[in-house]
Amino acid sequence: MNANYLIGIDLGTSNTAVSYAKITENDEKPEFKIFEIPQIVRPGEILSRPLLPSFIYFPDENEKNRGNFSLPWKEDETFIVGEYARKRSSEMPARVISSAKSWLCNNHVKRDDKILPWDSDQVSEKFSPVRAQAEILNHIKNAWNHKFSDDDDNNSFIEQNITVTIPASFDAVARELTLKACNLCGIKNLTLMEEPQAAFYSWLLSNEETWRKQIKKDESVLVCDIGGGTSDFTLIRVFETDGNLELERTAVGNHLLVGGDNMDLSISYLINSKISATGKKLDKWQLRSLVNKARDAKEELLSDKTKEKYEISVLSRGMKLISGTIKSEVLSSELDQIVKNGFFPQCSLEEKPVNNRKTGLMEAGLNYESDPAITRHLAEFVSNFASNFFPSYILFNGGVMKSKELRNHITQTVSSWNESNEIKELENNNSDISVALGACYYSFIKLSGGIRIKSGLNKTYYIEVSSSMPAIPGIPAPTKALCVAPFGMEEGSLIKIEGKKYMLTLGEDVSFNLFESSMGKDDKAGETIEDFSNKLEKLTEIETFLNGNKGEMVPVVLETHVTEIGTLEFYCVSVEDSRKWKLEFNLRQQSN
Amino acid sequence: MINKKKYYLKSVSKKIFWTQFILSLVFFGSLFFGLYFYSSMLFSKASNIDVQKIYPPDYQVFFDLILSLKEPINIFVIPASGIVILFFTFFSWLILRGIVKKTISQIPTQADTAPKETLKVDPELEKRKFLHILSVLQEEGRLIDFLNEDLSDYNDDDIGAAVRSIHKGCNDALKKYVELKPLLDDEEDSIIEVEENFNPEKIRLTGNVVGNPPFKGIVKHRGWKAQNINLPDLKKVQDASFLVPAEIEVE
Repeated sequence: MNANYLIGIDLGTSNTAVSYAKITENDEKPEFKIFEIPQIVRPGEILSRPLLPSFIYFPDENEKNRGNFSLPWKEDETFIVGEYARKRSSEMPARVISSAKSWLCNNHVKRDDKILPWDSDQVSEKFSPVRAQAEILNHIKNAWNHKFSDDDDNNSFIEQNITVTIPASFDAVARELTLKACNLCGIKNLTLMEEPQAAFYSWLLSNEETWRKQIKKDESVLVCDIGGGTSDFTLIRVFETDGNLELERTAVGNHLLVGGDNMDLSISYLINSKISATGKKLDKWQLRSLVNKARDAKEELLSDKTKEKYEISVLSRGMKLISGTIKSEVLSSELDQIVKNGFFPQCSLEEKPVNNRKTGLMEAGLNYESDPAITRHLAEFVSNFASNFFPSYILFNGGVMKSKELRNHITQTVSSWNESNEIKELENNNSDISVALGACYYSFIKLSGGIRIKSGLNKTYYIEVSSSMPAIPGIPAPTKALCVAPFGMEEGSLIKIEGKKYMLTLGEDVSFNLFESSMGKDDKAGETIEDFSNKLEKLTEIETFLNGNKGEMVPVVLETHVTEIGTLEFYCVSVEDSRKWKLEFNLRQQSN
Repeated sequence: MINKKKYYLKSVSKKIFWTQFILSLVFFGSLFFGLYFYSSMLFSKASNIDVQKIYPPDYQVFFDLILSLKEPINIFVIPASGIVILFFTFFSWLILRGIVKKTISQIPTQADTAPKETLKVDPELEKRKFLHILSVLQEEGRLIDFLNEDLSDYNDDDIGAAVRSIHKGCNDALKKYVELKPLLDDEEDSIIEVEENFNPEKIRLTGNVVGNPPFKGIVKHRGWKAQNINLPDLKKVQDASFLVPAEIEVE
């Protein structure tokens, strides 16, 4: 069946946005639109909104099966996705799944287990992080089919050309799990794409005529994507071949679990401590509403430099509105202290993130960053990847980056790292939807031609192999790390690691320890590193059961594939014949 | 509706045609087969010398006459029966179709009956649609709580503090449903001309209005226009007068 539409989905940690465009006959540029998603905003009320909050709410027995949570395409009221689910997350947290995406790259839990809502015993059936992601996609699928596919199967969601975005820093396992969620939803033509690249494509889309004049060859663009819960850095280099400008993504940062939500939480702690000092006390419900007020204060004070303070009023919960209102304020200087000094401190290029785990930042099983200073993480990224190729442009994306003041602050900080190079900001006008738009535009370019960012694998992957040193009794045999998938390995390509042969016994399990690194950019496939424990991060194991004649010994080599979709696959391939065994990622809990 | 009738007639006339065809095939087929069977029996008897002998020689002419018919009947019986079957099928189809057509045109269309259905509205749902924006403004901006306060009990500072939050909540809520824009592009206090065929729903004249337009006047208020209305889909409820539920926190 032929797809009629291109669809770009920004499957975000806190919000999901969908963009679409009709496939035209002569590859003419279509109009890229935002798909407004119908969702339950209040019991019994369905409203279409440009964003679908990535929350899943399980109504309790008393509330459901009255038709208030049924949708035009779904009678069942076991759970709902969207705005009302988000509202309930502060009122009934144990019945709501939030940030399911962050759980996809948390290897301290068994990721295909039904663990969400986390730490809750209130819902009758829990979801795995993969299922939760799939249900958000299902909501989009059904809403789409409801609008477009009444009589024409060619318009059916799963038949369309779909691009789903993921953080650039997502490791191979998180990518694989995202693919699983898409498969659960039934998507047939899928591409996975990195969010910072999508943001850059969105910039290309809105500067289609002029971008070649705005950025020059031999320069590079730093994409700084700071979302609600995660931060993501990417470096894109511009160079010239045969008179044409080309783009290449040359580096990707680590997965940082720190973002705008952490800032709002910190500001709300400050306000609460001020209120407590006056002898008044907020109840749980008011405390939660304080986080929203903290966000307003942050946005307001950061957007208007002339304001010295932002007044906050927390309404009483009951009918006596005015007498119960608690007043407080956030001073501009206090906000600067928290946001600019706490999350974006001025720092030198040489500074590294501070690694002291504060228990206050640990919450609900997700391993948040120990150092919330985003600029220090950025300094580490730039000094690792861009010291010779200092970025000339910076493109911001994400909700926090709507503040011009904050963008200027970061731009100045980065500029201070290199005196000879002034860094310019590339304007991003619609940061809520730019990733979805960029993903849709990318799939148009893939179909019809146009400038593409050369990218490939986002990290370097290694397996642990034993050294050839003789074993000493009582001491574990020393090991080395063998590079099996280098950074930048292209989509649709495969590499055979011929240098390392294994004799494997059929009828038994085989397992390799898999490591990753964002820093091992120059390692080639087949190269080994000694003494790697400080340089590489253990990801998980890759394992399989070797079916075949029990006891038969087969010499194999390892083969790595990067699929067209953008996921990584490993195989044991027999040297003697054409047999091969696919290795799967171990999703069980990993010890620290 | 007209199209539906056409479609119905088309499908019925198709059915009539095939029924008539099969009926005439069975009826005329067996008739012709019977005739053919009988005549061939007659021919075999007429050509039999033993049979001829029974009758006087005068009958020989009669036998010859019968036998001379043998060839044409053998040749024409099949095409003739075919033509008769088709002929009968066609005419009976034409007649029956005419009857059906006339009957269909007399059936009242749904469009004729439709007005009765639109009268069937749910009063609770209508009530809910009317009250809906009030419950939104209360839930997201606490507007009803505010309007029910006795402002004389409080000083302006306290009221101001509460309004800050109410204003933001109500404004954010409204923006989800409707985009509000001034109706006139002209600035307030500017002088504009009211044209001859102005729309009184768009422009309300005040002051000394004498005679017919065009008039010159000062814009005192630019008016408001609702655009990009995002209509919610509301479910029927048991009692639409419950604007916002009471909240009970279970310990």
